[in-house]
Amino acid sequence: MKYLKNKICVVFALFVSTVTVSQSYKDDISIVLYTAEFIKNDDFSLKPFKEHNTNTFYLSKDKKIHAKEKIIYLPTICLYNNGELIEKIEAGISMKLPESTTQRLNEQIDILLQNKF
Amino acid sequence: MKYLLLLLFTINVQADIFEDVFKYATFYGAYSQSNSLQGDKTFYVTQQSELQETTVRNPSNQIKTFGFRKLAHFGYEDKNRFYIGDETNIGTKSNIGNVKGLEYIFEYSKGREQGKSFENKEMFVRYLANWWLVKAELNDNELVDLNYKSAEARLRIPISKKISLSIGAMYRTYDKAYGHNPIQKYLENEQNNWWNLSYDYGHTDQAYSWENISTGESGYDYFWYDQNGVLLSNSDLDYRNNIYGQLVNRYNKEQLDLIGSFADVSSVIGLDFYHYRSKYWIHTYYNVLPHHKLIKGESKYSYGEFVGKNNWLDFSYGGVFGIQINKHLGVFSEITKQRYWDRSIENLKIGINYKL
Repeated sequence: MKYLKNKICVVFALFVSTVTVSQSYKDDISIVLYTAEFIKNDDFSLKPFKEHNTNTFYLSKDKKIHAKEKIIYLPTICLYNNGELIEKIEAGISMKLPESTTQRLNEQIDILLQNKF
Repeated sequence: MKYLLLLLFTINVQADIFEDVFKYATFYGAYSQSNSLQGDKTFYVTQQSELQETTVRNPSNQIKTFGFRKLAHFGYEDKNRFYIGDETNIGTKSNIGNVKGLEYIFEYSKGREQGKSFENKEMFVRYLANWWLVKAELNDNELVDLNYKSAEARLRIPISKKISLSIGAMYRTYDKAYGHNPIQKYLENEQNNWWNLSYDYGHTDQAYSWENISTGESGYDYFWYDQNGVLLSNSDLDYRNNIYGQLVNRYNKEQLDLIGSFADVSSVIGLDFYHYRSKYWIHTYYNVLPHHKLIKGESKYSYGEFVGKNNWLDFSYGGVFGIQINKHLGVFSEITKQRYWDRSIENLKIGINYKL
């Protein structure tokens, strides 16, 4: 019994430590901007979403994440909810996010919040 | 012009506050009714061999609930389409919520359970910010004889996005002198015999002698009467088995009511961990209250006086864990434990689901 308890504790500790470091940029409601240093994002800001988790990943620094998330266009905005991709908004060849980006994100966030209550 | 601008500004601020406070809030009202548990049939046979049924029939259980709430569910919580007032609300127990900002529940319910009428009031308000939280609770539950108020303020230290440490102070009230047992003190007094309590409540006894005509054995015992002279019992043993316990409860309640209520301020340390994915989730919380100071109530009846120190350890913890191993198999467990003063509340659920 004692050994079983110890094993359960070890498994639990491993599980906690694994999930603590795993993909935290997708936790809860998260808005992630995938971009590059040379791109000017003057027409879009993550500030209105500061109540939620926000992250910016630059191509030069976070190449692996860009590859893992299969980012083709820059900049790209992704909205996640508990690890699940809810909305992906990509810039076209103009390298500018659509004007309606903030509005579209807010609409989706509103639905996500509504479902929590 | 200045007044117009001020008015517009005020309206704008009020609109923002209104949205922060009431957006996603739900007002609900519900009525439910169900059969109550019925005991076995009981009968009484008269001296003339006449059979009389004496079964006590409990009327149906019913409850009316009204509430107003804005409390986010955690990802793993099953959400009903409609609120009816029987939700478990795990979010009220932990120090993190599934959203930041203001959350609350105000609920009133009135009903009948197993023939006993009750009235319950519940209030919960919490504001959760990045670096601090404040929380106030009131719970008056006549069904489980629970009545307390608490308020707390804590600093939050987010160790990571999933782990949060909190340190602060908690104010708690309790309406009973926990640990103290008035009847024990009464009987410890050498001048008090058990029957003195009966006399205090107007019961009287009358001695009689008896003789077993078959064996010739003889002895004596007592009839017991209430304050109106109605016979309660034919012997001391029967009286103690069936009547005396009610007097003890009444005495304890009256004495504890005389003592009044208490309030403590305690230091509190909390640790919370929450991680949710649709395939697996874990949420744990711990609260430890190591130091206490009595700020209301008679100190000689306080819990600190009962245990002889002001640094007894009160705590609460809970954990929810679930994993969907594959599309068929899932396991889950839920545990909560709270030990405040000498009161413990424990719950454990563990299970497995296999979908064919």
